[in-house]
Amino acid sequence: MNSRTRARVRKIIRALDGPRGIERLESMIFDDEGFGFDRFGFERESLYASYVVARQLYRRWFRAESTGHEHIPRTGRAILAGNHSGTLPFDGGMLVVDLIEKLEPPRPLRSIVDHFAFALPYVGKFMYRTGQVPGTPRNFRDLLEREQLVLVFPEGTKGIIKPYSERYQLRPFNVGFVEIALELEVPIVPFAVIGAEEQAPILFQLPGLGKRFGMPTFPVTPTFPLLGLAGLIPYPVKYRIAYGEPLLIHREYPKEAARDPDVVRAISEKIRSRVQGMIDLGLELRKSGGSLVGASQ
Amino acid sequence: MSADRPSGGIAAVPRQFRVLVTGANTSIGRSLVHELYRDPANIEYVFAVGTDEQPYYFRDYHRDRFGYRVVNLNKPRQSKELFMSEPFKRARIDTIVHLAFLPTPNGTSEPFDVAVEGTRQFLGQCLETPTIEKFIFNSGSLVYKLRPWTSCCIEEDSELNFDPGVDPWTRARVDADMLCRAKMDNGRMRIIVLRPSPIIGRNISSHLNNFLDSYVVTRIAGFDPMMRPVHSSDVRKALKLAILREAQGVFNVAGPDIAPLSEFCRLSGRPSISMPFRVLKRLNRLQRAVGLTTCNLDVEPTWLKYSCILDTRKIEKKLGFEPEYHIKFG
Repeated sequence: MNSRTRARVRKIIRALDGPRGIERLESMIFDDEGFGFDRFGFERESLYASYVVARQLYRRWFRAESTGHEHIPRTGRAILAGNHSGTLPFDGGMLVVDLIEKLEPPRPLRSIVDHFAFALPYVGKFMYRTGQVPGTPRNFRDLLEREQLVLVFPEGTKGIIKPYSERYQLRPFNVGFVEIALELEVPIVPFAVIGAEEQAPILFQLPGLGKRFGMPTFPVTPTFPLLGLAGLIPYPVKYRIAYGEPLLIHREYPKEAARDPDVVRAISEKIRSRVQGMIDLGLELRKSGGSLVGASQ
Repeated sequence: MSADRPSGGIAAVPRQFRVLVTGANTSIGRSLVHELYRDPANIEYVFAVGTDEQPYYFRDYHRDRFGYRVVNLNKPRQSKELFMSEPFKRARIDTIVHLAFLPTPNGTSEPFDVAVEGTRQFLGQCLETPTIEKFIFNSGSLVYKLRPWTSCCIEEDSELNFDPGVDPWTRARVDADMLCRAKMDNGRMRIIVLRPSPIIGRNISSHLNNFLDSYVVTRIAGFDPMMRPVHSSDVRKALKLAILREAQGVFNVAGPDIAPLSEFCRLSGRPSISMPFRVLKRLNRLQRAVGLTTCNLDVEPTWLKYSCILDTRKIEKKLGFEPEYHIKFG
């Protein structure tokens, strides 16, 4: 957005959140290249404006609750790694909103996103402006070298399109984020999102049809494509987000371990087990009607 | 268009160079020749090669330190005659700066592969000339392949645009770039390939400069890529560093300003509109036909969609290049 639009957005933020909103916006850690954007195209006014809209979804639709924020570093590089689900990636959006809502000062979460989204007009632009980048090792490394907090879903697209019958069962994790975490000595904060698996249960998939639309698959849910695009509106499930204690793998393993595929795979598996454990505990607590606090330990 | 002029110059090295500059009639060529001529401490002799008769701006130069010759490097005979000519032999050239290679897809009557062949022959003749120690080729960022999944920062070893469907002009640029890279291990002559970002500057014929010079700037709706243009003065500085410093290889050159394309459109002060690409392409043809723009969007338009931020860490480290000139219009 240009400076005039930016001033307008600030006016709206002030009207909605008062001077505190502007203070929070300005306190976001931001690597400004001189024009109000960082080199990836992130603009904090765009992120905050999106947050103002998305928090209605966070607060009223998903009634999100979260715990374990004390585990998230307030400054410096870190990776958030956890489960991915829900057909449409609302979980990623809600994590971004959660960290703006709950952290003081709010910390922009930089997501690593499947690149097909960046080919779409407006969608790609929106992604860049709100801090998301195409999933390439170079981008991931660049963000961490610039001391950013980076969100990864190590299951990749496979996680988001798993059938309802396999909900809350993690797919194998990718290993690239472990290699980079070892090389750059980055703490990994595991997290679990409970609830997103039920927001659009996939009955079956039509991958051939999906390819024709340039998507990884074409999911069929109880409401989509039956109700058209309206069928993609997620069900109003309750989101529960838990952040776990950071895993300091760089203290347990030397940097050279990043070049050993067996070690990297083992670490990735360890993180996966950790996230699966948090999910299982979260599900148990949800069943018993308890708080999520236990899941963040 | 102008730039904030910073202070400071380039440190001298303990030897003097005798430099031949092709494309001396282009805006960058002219200013580079100017700069080299005014630096007798480092540059002993400048031999300018252009396609027009010696222009007025070179007429005051002293013959002891300056020579000029009209050569069309796309014609092998003329190129050969240059190397066999007495003035060239007398000049004992040790460094070549090759700027005369298809700056834009407009204004050439010859097929682009003729220009590639011309560069191949010119490079071959340089390799056969024992006095020539260094060959500097000015390539460009358009040789990189841009896609939605291209990393935001582009390093020198990023994928080049070998797309079979690419337009002939871009293919010619990639071919010439690759020709120079292929000869890098010749063992005698150092070859440097500079790949500047889209260049901005007065009278510069680059795709971005032409684009921003349009009466109405037209962008693709829904896309606003991040860019890192470079001012022509910074390109000149990088070329001079390439002459003076001991180095070989491919180097990205970019300016200090990083912003979305819309921001540079706004800075240019031209009215800007966005539209779907198919409409934009037709409108661009119409604009060109009636002379409202010189920017040709039939040629590799991906830079209007996807970000291209060149990583300049290599040139900063090896040649000591620091971009200084901020983009300023008006």
